[in-house]
Amino acid sequence: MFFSLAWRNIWRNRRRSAITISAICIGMAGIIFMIGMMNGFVVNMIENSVHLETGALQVHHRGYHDDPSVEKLIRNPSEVSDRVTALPRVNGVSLRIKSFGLVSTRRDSLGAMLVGIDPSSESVVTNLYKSVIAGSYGSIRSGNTVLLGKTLAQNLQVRLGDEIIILSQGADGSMGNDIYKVGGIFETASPDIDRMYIYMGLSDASELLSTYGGVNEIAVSLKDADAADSAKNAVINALGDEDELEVLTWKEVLPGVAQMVVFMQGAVFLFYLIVFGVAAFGISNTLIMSIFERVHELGVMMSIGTRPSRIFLQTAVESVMMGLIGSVIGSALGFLLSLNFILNGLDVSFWAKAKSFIAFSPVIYYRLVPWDFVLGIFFVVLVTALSSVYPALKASRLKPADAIRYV
Amino acid sequence: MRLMLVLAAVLLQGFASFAMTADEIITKSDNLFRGNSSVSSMSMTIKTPYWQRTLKFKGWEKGRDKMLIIITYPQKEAGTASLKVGNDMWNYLPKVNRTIKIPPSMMLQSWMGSDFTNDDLVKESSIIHDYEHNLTGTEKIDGQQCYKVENIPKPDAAVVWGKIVYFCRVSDLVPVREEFYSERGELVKLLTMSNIKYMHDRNYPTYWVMRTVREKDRHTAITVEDIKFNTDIPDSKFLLQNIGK
Repeated sequence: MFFSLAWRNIWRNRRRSAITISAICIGMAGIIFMIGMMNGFVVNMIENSVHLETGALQVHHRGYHDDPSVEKLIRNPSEVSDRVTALPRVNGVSLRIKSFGLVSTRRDSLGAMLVGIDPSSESVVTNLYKSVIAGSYGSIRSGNTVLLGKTLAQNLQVRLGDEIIILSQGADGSMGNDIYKVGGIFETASPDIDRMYIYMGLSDASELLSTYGGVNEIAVSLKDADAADSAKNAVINALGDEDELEVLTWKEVLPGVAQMVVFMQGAVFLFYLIVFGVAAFGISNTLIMSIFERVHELGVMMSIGTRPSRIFLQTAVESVMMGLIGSVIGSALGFLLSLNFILNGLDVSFWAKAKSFIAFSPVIYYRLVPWDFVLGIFFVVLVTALSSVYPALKASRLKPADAIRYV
Repeated sequence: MRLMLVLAAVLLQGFASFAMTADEIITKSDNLFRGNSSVSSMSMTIKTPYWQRTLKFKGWEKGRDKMLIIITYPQKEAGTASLKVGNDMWNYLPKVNRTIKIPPSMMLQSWMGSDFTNDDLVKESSIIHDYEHNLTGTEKIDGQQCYKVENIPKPDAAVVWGKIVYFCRVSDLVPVREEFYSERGELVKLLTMSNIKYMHDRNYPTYWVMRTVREKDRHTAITVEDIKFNTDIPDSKFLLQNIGK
């Protein structure tokens, strides 16, 4: 009786209700579409950043992050990495030696970031192995062979198989130098890495930079990069007495990316506010109109004993029903709109090429989880309930004697 | 009358001590420090919180634009050479038998891990030509009265400093201290020179310490073991193709 009255009231003026419902519906579809993109964007950004270079967590000698220099070494890397790898949520770790050096050919010299890695363990942490566009990722297993960023290779005018000289100051202060062969060229999503980075085998780097088995960085891959904060504590506990070490999450290593994530979540919320703020007035208006239409009828209802609170509730239910219908259809529509981009992705390569401190893949895959719909529908119900307050109050405060005479 | 005499004496003395212009002080002091040419042996100790090491090297300098430094110790780096001609600099690496030109982007990097940058070596003589000199007074350093000359870069000079303050002894113009300021006026580097001895034909500071103000717990100290001035060095010594030989 209660709901069916509300239901019928919605459809007594089909056109007006249809317009209101479609407004909600379109707003909802738009929001779902936007959220799909934002989610895809955020995930893309996190994945790219984490798998590009940092890993989900990093372990360094204390102070290395603030002022990186090759002397700040983890002296017992195998012990540290064993303890970290033993944690259940850790996928794997990569040991790295990092320093700034001078790369030189017969023609030219340029500064570059030297990174010594073990290719097998690095591939658990980063996607570097997928980024090699010429030569082979594994080539650095054979000694004195390096992988060069595409832009760096272009700037130095070297090709696969060419020789380069690397000069750098080691951890003991000595100047290391040697000849290396270009075994591979990589192109990542980050212009900075393509322009600055050189990867070489861990033992080559240890030799060049005189680290005597020490490393500068242990990058940790987690099964769930989102859980970096709690995993950080687990790693700190596992390291226990190693108070010379510091553990950082990717959010701390890449504060720009972390801020961007927060910013995007904020943007979604703002979007909600704007769209449904506007919708709320539309719904209010519809309800007020429909109440003016049935003043007489409401007067009759009250005269035969319907309580004002019931009139109030019924009007509110009417509004929420419209919200529900609109938001459910809108969600479905939004999902359908996003479907193509969920499956095939949105090509933003025009954008990814822009110089940026954040790495993007050229294709963004939309992402929607059930929670996004639940939250959206909940938000709509809340807004429609709120916007019915004024019309419902108006209806419930009618004086039956006056209302019944209203034509 | 006596008063007048005293006054005149004081004034004259005042004039006398400021008789040299800032330009003359800098030019003469620099010339004293470098001569027309020089051949030297030095040892350099770099101290950081993580390591300490000593390098020994021989240096040849001719005019103001040619310099060659060859490392003689430790064994691992012996033969490594740095050649400066004009504003360019090359490193010779004996291990790979190659010469590397230092690109402009690397000029502010450390030279051999020390607190001296490549730029410090290349631009060391530019204080004469690239800066305006102002004598701002005298100050006592290590018990010796010293001229204090402020050097502000000329508008079109390609230098990294905003100001260099140069101190040299009034008595013999031996430089004892140089302060390097950024363009924002912060003290960035400090070079002190002491242990002044009679070397070859002149008084010369034989112990130099370079500090980078921001990095408190490290410094580089150079000891001049031997130096000869105005010796005849053939130009071929500074040819790129000869430095590996």
